[in-house]
Amino acid sequence: MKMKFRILSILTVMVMLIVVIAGCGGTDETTTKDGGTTTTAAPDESGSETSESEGGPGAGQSLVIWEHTPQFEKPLVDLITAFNEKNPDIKIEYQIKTSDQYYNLLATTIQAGETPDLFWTNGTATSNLGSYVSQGVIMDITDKVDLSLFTDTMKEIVTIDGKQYASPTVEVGGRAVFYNKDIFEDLGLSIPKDFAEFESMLPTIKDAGIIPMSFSGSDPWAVLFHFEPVLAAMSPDWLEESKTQDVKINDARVTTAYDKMLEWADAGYYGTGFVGVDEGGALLAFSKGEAAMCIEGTWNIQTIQENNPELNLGAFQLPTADGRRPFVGTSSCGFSISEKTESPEAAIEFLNFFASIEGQEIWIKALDSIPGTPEIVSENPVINDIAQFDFQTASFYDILGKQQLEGENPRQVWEEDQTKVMSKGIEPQEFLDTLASMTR
Amino acid sequence: MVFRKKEFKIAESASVRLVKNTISVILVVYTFITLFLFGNTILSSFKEKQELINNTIGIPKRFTLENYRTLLVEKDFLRYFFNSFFLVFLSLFLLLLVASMAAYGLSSFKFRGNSVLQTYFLIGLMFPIQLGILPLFIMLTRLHLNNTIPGLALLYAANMSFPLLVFSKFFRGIPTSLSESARIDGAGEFRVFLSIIIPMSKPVLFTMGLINFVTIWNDFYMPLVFLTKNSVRTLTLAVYTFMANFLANWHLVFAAVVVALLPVIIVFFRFSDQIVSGLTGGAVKE
Amino acid sequence: MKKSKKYIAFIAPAFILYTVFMIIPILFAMYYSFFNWNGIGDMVFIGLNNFKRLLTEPRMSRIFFNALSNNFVYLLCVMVLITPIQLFFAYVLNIKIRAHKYLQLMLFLPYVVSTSIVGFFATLMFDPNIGVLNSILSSLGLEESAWLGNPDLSFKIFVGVVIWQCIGSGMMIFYANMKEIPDSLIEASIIDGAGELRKFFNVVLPQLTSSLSTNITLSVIFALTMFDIPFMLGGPQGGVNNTIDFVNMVFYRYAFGGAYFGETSLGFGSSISVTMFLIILTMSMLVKALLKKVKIDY
Repeated sequence: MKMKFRILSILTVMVMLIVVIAGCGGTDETTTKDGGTTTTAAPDESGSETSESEGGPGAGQSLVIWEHTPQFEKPLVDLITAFNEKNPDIKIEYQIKTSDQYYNLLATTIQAGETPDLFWTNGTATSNLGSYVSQGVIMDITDKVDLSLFTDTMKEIVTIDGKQYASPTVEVGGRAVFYNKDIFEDLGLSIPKDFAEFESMLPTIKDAGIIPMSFSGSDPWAVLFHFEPVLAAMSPDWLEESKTQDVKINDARVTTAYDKMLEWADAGYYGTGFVGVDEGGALLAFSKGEAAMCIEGTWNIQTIQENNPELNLGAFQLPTADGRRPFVGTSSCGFSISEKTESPEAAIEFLNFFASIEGQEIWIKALDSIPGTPEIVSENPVINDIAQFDFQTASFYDILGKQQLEGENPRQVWEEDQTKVMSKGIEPQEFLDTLASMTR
Repeated sequence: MVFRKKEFKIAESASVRLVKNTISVILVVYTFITLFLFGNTILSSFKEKQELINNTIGIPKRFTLENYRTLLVEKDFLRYFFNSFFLVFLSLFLLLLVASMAAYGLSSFKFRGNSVLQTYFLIGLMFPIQLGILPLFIMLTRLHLNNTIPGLALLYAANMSFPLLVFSKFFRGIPTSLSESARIDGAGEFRVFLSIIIPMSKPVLFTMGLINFVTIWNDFYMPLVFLTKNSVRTLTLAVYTFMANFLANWHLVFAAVVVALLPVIIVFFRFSDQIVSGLTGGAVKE
Repeated sequence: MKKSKKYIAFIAPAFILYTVFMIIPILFAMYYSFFNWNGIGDMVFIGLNNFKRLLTEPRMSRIFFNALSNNFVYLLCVMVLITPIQLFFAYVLNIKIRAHKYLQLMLFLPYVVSTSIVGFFATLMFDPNIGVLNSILSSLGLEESAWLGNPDLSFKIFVGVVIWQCIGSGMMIFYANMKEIPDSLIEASIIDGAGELRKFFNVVLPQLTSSLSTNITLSVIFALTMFDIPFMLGGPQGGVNNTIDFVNMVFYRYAFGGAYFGETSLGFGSSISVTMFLIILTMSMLVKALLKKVKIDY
């Protein structure tokens, strides 16, 4: 009898093992067939890795690329397609993650020694790139990839100790006031010349039964992308000072921008329940024409236009009291190469293509975002609307990061408490005082 | 709500009627919400993108199957669908097998450390699953099981605390007389387990099977981490990534929700009847 | 129960699988909790400092205890509201009231929906601008609400959504248990002329000990590990003024950060989970002792 049980448990373990082994084999097989939708397969005649003489550098190698959010799927696919036309012998597979999990997944694969060949990071905007570099995970591409297309400002986001660890993009991530041209026309409104005129429009729109601005008060990032242009319009001097020196985070000029937003909120210019609106809901209310305006990040242009192609979309920059038009813009980071990649030639070849004018043109156009170089001209009229500005300012969030004290984490506190300012859980002054205590 | 007369013999006092009316109202509201959400999702999945903007809630003016075609043909949902099925059934088979065996071992044998072992098997529920991702990923990579469906199935099967607890409680409630007489007839422990315990536990086996079917089918987190290749991607993960960018393709989102829900609804209701019928003729009703 | 060594054969496969893929990762996490570690860089041993920070640093402890109290308030809701509802519906289904098939469909339908779809449904219902509820209110001429944006409402909405979506699983366990009650017992009580209520309390309820103890034990654990529904409803920051923040969400925020804010602190995050584990373990022991005392567990 006892024997039977031993046999049984051994059998169970064996069945498990067989399943596992069979699974391995099975999946290996499917992997090689995996040329379908998300990958661009190399033609059959390549194959061996020694065929470099026939093709360009990296021929026969394969690459895995990671992007952090589905919004970048289209530009990446376009880029890979164009790249494969030139380099048919390099097989590329891409994987799109979700932004809330991205760094966790990346750190996990790095720890497991399975780092993707190329991967996105937010550059020096977050601490991750620095920590990867100090761990020797990322290839120094300083002389390997031609970054001459980019200005020094653009390269800041990929530079650590004078060396480049990723390719930047020429994309400028900006903020803008998006508006519904039809609603403006119906109400006889036009693009405001100064801040007072902008404010005077708000009651007019509200009285017409339309939400003046759709706004997500439940998402710290959506609040930021709204707050920064307001700050730039109301206190451009504070932002200007921040470029050359440390500034007081709890300066009255910053508080006043939050106070203004709360004043608008109380007047009903964000609609009744904006604290319960998430970012998607705010954009949807705007694209459905329930709101006349929406102050948001410029990377949402494509989403808005795809969501409602018939929306008569326009954009402008929130003007200052004296009628100047500021622009809050941040540069953005592209891809880094894994130090341990098995296909370094192919990875460098790809990144060179990404950093070329051709690659950037594909990237920018597929994203419908703002080109930071005159060499690329967007065909999207909304983009050209946004490009109408008088001066560029820094981002409040970047200032927090730049001035943070060693061992403190003001940006995390900012992220946790930002929405409470809008829901009146804390006073703007108290919020800014806390941030100020964690910064220089 | 009217109870069947034969079953409900209590005199209908005013308070009872009040309770019944309240319950009826709650049920009507509950049903209304459910019907509205599901009905609207199904209706919206047949709408064209442009119509959805102005007619988010309501009957489509023009029915289109384009959304479904896009999903199934262009977006590879058919493949994800089969991956999901393979994953769920493999996981369930392993999970139910090892959990029920262990539950039987725990509930019908006396040995030192039994109680400690029961608590030990509960620990898995007390930690967020996200916590173990890094060591698990490294393990699966070393075992060459990363990006394979059987690899993830092993992880799901290891997450056995819930069914194991339920099984062991239920097994203890089964009268011992039958298994005793089987043993006297010379049946081994495994025979007793297979031919007496398992048939008598059909309702709870189906219940746990269904609950775990739903859980595994709906999980996007583990596939997000462990099934990154397109060839092994699951349906729920595909729907989840769609949701992450729902504004840009929200006409597809409704259809994707329907595609993801349909199989699980069918399986669920096909087998939830089994919980009921699985018992008739069962030996429990001595 | 028998004394025999045969149990080993039954338990071994589960034990191995569970230990390798469940317990070992947890042990790793416990180990991390003593380090300052972002998941990739150098690990710096800092002893109990992570725990000290969590429990005593003013800001951090406020966040943690707010979340913990939400967990316990929710647990209370489960005990006084959700479990009775599950029991009630299971019984109603069991006695096959009129239209019980339809009722079963309605009750189980939300249960099969994944939480990411629940989040999508919540936007359709509760969004103040485009949601259904506010358009109903405004068409009735009533004042619109911020729903999840209203700190007084958000927790109630959360509990409502949980009731809508989650009663299915506990209900099924009760239901399956009721199915195992011998017909003879019920028939006997009917012959005795017992009404529905008496039948329930005198005959059915005493037979439900196994599912009651299962459901209570699980409720405690699930309530204290609440994560995905509040995450979908209120975002990673725990809703308006942290009203639907739960400990697992605090863990998630600190351990993994996000793409915009990329600080991952696996060491500190692990310490949150380990603290929570100790709380849950204590609670489950208490529940176990309590159930034994009232003789629900056998």
